[in-house]
Amino acid sequence: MNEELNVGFIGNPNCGKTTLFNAYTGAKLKVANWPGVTVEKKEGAMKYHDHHFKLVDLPGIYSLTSYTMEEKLSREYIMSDQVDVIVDIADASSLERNLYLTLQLIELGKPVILALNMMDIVEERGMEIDLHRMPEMLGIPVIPVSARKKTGLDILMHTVAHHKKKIQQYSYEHHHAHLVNSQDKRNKHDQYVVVYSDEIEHKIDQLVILLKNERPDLVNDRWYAIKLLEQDEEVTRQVGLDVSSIVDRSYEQDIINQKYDFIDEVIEECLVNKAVKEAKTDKIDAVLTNRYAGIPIFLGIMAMVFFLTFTVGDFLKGYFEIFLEHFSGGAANVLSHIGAGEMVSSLICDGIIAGVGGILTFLPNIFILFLALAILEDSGYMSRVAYIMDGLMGKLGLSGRAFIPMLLGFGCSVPAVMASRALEDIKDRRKTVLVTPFMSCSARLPIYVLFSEIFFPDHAMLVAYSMYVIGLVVAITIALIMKLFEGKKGVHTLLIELPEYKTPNAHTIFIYVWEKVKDYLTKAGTTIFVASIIVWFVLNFGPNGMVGDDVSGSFGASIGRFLIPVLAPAGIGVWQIGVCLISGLAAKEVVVSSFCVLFGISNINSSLGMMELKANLSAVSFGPANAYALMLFCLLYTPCIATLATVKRELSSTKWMIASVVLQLSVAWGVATLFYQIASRLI
Amino acid sequence: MKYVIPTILLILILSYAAFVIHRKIKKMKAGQFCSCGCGDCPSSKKCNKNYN
Repeated sequence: MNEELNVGFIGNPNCGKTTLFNAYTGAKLKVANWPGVTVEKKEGAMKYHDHHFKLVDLPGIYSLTSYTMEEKLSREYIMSDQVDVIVDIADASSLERNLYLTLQLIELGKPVILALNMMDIVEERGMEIDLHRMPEMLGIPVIPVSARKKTGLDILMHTVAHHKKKIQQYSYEHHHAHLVNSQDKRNKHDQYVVVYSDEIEHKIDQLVILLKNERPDLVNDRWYAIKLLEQDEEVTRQVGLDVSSIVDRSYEQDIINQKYDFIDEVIEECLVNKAVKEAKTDKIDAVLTNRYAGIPIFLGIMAMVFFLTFTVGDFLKGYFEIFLEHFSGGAANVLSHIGAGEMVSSLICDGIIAGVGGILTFLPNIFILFLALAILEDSGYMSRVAYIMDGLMGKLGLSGRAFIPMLLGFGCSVPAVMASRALEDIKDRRKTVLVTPFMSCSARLPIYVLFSEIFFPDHAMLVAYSMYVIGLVVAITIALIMKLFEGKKGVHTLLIELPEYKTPNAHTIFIYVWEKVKDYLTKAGTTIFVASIIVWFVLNFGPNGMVGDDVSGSFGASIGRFLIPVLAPAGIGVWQIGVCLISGLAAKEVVVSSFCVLFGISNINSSLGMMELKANLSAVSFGPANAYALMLFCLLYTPCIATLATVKRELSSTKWMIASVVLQLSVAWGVATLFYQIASRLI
Repeated sequence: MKYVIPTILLILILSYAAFVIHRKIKKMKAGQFCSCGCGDCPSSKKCNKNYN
């Protein structure tokens, strides 16, 4: 039988819906927008035996209320005649959260199949799901699948093929333990998936009678009655009847609570060994997300991350230094042998190798930093950080959700700024975009490692760690000042998923860290490569051509000297530093590369390289106070051009981009100057 | 003859640098600003499409 079936894929965010959808549609995927809105619509096609399926991937939603555009779209689509079968994909390892949408879908009166995804994770956690009992309680087919491992996919499509127009596949068999005191004689327990309290069922009956009389055109009166009791605006408008005599108040909360009572019953009867896993997570959360200890623990964990970054990272970097030394020496010999002139040799050795090589020696530190962050992320801890910070963020006029972009800023400012899209309020988004660049990105780490080890050898880790803390403090302070100017008193709520704690998966961590290492190497081979050539050029050429050993006549020196009056109060009034700071606009790692090129130090991260740099800087009276001021300036001043372009795009405004640059430069100069002026007098 | 290899080396280096700059500008015009890779980017799927 050749039949085309329209199948809608629906489910909570992060339930694996898109993975499952992609497993079916593969390359035959069309992406567009739902008409009139910016929400993505994905359609695909597939064939199973004699059936042709048209698949639509609906937006990830938690419920079918009409609060968000995604929810409205999904509800409209499902209630239209466009869909034949709904596949509700649930994360089997988080059933409580996922079943709420399932119950709403069943109440809608459309053919629904529940696909329990991530069954492999359920098995890993030692849990089991009674796949015989669950269909009895829900009245619909329940199919276990794993989109990741591609199991159960054929069975699911087979079920879809045979489920068109079947609203209730099985008769309900449930006990509704929460209704043990029900006086309802009509006993709807075998008719509906969710039976509410007597009061609500009585009102539903009254509304159904009213709808049958006044609106016989409506299908599924019970659903409309429930929505009227919830005082759903869209349904109330659509029905157009005065129901105030029956709906004396909103029963939304009661209906939600009673649905969850039933979900508890389903979990109790169908999910085995759940309690053990939950108990562990709860115990750990009692400590890690404790109201008073949460933030200190977070700071302590970050301190541990830096400890590892420095100790283990420094141990590994020795090998890189040896390699770089040999490579640099070998390159110089080869160039001499082939008769390369002074300019080409200088470009390759003092420019490219010094610049790119210098930054590559920090790869071990970067590697350890991202390894530690990946472990924290995969264990489930990082999700808690937004929750922990929610209280503090609330005082700044933001929700804890605003901390998520800021947390991403520890890695890179570009995705961090983009992540602010999750904030619905434009003012919150703007505020988050403006303060997120103050969070120290990983690109700045080489600057801290270098200067803290040179000028604060006994306290290098602590000094570098202080940069991250100061960045966080400055971000919070700026947000607070903005809030005071706004005078806004909004109510912010945070709804966030806290996954169970789990042992980090080695494969996942490997993929994540490898991506970061690849990105770092790619950046070294592209942006830093080009920036090193440009810095070399401006330092070795002047108005009169190549300048030779005395670079004070170069273009770079002219540019740097122009900045001396501005940078001097901050203790960094050295023309070479001015050049390095400007070069940092390409990428923050280039600041260190520029030092390498400027002073002709190819192995700047080695003991010898550091001594050489220290000697050069000391010759211009650059000491510990200046070094710390420089680090503060690098922490707070304008991020890379990519971040600025992202800020402009996300805020859709050149004016706000310029404002962010002015803010960052002002704060950087102010904080560095304040520190230096005080420290230079004390030391 | 003596300067052939160094000259070729110089041309290769500068050509590669020009290629990197050209690709970067092209990517930024297409709305892909990431310089840190796409792993964390919430818009990595959209970055080849036109921004509205």
